[in-house]
Amino acid sequence: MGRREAGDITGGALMRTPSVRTLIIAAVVYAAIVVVLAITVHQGFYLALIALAFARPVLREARVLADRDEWQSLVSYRSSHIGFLAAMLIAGLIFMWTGIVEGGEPPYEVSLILLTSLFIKFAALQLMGRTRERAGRAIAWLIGAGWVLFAAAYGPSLGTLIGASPFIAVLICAYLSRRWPRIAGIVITAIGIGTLIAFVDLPLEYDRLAVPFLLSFPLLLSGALLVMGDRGDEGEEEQPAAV
Amino acid sequence: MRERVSNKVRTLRFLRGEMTQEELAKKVGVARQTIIAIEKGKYNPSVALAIKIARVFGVGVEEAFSLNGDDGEARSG
Repeated sequence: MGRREAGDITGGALMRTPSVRTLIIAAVVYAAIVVVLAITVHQGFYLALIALAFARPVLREARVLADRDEWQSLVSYRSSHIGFLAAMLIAGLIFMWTGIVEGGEPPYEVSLILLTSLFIKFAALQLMGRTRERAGRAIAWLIGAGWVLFAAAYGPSLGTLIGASPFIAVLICAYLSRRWPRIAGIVITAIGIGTLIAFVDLPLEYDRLAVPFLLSFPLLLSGALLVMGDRGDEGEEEQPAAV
Repeated sequence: MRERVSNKVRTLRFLRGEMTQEELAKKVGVARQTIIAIEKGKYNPSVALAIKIARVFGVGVEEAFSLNGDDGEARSG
């Protein structure tokens, strides 16, 4: 917490930082981990370096660290958004170049990064801007429709219909969630768990992350949101009390 | 048409015995760069921060900030 100073009308409410002691402890622990990883020539050394770059932004998003005021946060968000758009543009160009111009298969990694990033952007937008129920429903529509289209790309056949049936079930649940959100949420969660059991082998390999990242986890998120439901945060408009 | 917000923060600092940007920043709990951005009209503060700034100068929020550039010196859109 910020130090309260004479005349400080906020008490440091807008800018808070962890105590010096906390920072020193965290720095010492981090340094010790990095040294051990470096000495043992462990691959985790690179992970520790990546963690260093992302630790503060992640802690800020988790509201553990609040060392930036509103202007600094806005500038940081805008710059991150520009970076996101640039990354998506490059990934989209590679995707189109390899898939359309060269007529081949777009690189798996590029497709995964592109689609996962776009899904997270979509889900975050829904979670921040809508009620849980509406967000859960929107995610179910997106995932169901996306995977039905993916299955349909194999052409009309009984196999395609069977392959697409779980995703058609998700679409039906999304529709029915208007009337029975919790039941629909439970079914979607069950389908999500089913996809994990059926399609995901442990240990996870990076070239098989599309199913958990773009199917199972989104369905579990959608199901959880529908089951939790709304707590009146965007429901009916409250009427002003009579004077 | 985008609304324009203007502010008199620079003038109010001057009237407060040339209070520095750093002093104002400390009083309202933000960085000096934030005060600079507000004075230049590059950034419209949140309602909470606008109230805090106005309180430092002992004026109403609408005296420090106004819409559509009524009397302001710095404008942003």
